[in-house]
Amino acid sequence: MCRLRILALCLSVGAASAAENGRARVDWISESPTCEAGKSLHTAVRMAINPGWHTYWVNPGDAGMKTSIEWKLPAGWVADSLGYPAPERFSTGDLASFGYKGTVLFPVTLTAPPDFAGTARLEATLSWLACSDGACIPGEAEISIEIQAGPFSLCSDAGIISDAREQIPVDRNGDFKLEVSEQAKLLVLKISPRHPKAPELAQTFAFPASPDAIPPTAEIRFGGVPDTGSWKATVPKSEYATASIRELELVLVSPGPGAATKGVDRPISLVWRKSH
Amino acid sequence: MKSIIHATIAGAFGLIAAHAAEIGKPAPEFSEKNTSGETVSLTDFKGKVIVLEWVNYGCPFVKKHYSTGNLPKLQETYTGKEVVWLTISSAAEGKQGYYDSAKMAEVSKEQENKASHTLMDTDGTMGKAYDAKVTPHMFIINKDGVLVYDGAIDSDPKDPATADKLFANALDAVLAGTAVEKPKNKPYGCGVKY
Repeated sequence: MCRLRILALCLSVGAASAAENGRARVDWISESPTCEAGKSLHTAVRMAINPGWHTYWVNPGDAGMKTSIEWKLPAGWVADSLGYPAPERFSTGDLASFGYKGTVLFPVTLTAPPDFAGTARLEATLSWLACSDGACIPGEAEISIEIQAGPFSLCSDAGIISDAREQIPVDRNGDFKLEVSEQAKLLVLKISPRHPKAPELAQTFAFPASPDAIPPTAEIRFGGVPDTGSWKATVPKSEYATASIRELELVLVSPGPGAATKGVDRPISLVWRKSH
Repeated sequence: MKSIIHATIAGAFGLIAAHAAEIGKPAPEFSEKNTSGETVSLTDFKGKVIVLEWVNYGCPFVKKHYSTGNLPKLQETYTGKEVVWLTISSAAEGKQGYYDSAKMAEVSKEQENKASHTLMDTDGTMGKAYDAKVTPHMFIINKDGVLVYDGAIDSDPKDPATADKLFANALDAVLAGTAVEKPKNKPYGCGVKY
């Protein structure tokens, strides 16, 4: 395929669908304007949030509303769930929330039906809440992309989509065991490696993906437990936790450049479920 | 390492001790001006059941409860049963939801608010005494001045008609003298704009 034609197709993939309200511009970008029948395609919902505003993670924290999506796909097309990058914490007085500022990409993998031919128009509605220090505005965007049946070709957005996919928390429950125990109004979180090749986690800190277990204002930082090879963090239990915590999902992130140890270079997700 | 844990634990207890409003304990005192400039205090209502409703008419969650008529209907129903209903704005000047008293009175009327009073807690002291986190955030104080509910108006922001009526059920229980099922639960909403 001639480069100019690919470029033209890439530009038209999501161009007509950019929507702006709720203090953010949203569009849907794709790594390729084309996809073969039965194959998968990496795309991303891109949200450019106005300066001074933020939107929310799966666990929004003390206030706010999770960013969510509703799909309207042609027959046979499948979208996996929206990928949420690791958030940052926004604090206002005694309240804290988890979410995003600036430009954030939510990766989505689409799979074409086995009989895909011609052009498919995929639609979705993204809903969110954008808040600043002083106000909250809801947002809703109807977004769409058009994909043509054909061999894979590369759009310039493929680079940022690939980078975004690399930063989605990856399930590492096979490498680490997370245990949660309760001590009065505190939770003791312990992570143990399952095998000698599991990476070092000292100085990583965590965000709770499960709402209502740990107060959003609590900083969750893991320290090494001497002579055991495991890591521990002690945090308050949320005032909203029901009698006893039965499940907790954590997203662990590295403290960043300049930290004493490298920690993890990609956010990891660990889940604990209480056994009976 | 040990000192980090001790500091964290001390911090945790500090966080817990700071909350003045506790279920089962006497409700924190308050004294605020309503939109007509009159001072309204907890002690004015001895022997009455009191509802506190934190509001921000700019917050989409609050807008939903007013535009569907849900909150005005609750206000009308329960003030009709001798409940004192106080709508409180703790928005700081310049932030979403803040209006001066005259404008707040006007907006309340437009929204068909039927509370006994709307209180202007612009400096946030009442909000912080109760640890009001979001709008809407609901509290119920029983006839003996004890805080018996601190939580959400209902279970789901999507549709007041089908959500589990956490607050209304709690208020019915208080009026009937029976136990409140979920006295403390997490309210959804926009952060209070202190």
